[in-house]
Amino acid sequence: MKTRIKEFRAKYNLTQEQLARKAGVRRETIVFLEQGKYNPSLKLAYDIAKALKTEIGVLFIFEQ
Amino acid sequence: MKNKQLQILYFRSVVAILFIIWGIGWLVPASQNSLKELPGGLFIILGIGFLYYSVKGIRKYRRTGEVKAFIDERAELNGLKGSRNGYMVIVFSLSVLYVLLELGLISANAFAAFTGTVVAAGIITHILSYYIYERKG
Repeated sequence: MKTRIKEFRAKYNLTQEQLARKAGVRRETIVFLEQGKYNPSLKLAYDIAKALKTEIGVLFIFEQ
Repeated sequence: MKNKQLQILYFRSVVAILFIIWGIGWLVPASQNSLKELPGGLFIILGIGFLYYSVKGIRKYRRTGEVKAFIDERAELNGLKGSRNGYMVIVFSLSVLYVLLELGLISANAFAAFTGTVVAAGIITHILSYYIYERKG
């Protein structure tokens, strides 16, 4: 799954650590999410989207 | 208190205090064991370390409203995967040991001795698997 987390993080000038704190996860989880190596739960996807002031559908690109 | 990460900090503080109490408890019979003050001292040092970082985290939360996450869904998932691997090692190894015992290839004493090794192998598998999953994602 592709994500636009890095793009939105840059938009709001947030570091991975800052985003992790806002979403209540570890920095490593943000790293793996950005690399598309981890599929988050719906709740985590929502928390990250909320922290980046966007919506899940915009932030996460689901592929068949 | 809904913040899970904050709950972990408080839980760690309690564990740290228990470590210190346990360490002091170990110091009492120190003269009677071959390791002397070593186990008690280690528990006390570990407890003080845990307590320091937990209290530091709690104070930071009260000051800034932010708390560093120690465990999240990915860590829990990797922990579960690691547990599954450890469990499989234990079940498979015990099955082999039972078969060997029933076939008379090993004695009951050897079976009992190997059981401890199997449990240790399961725990090591769990820990190693967790770290491998953490590294690979």
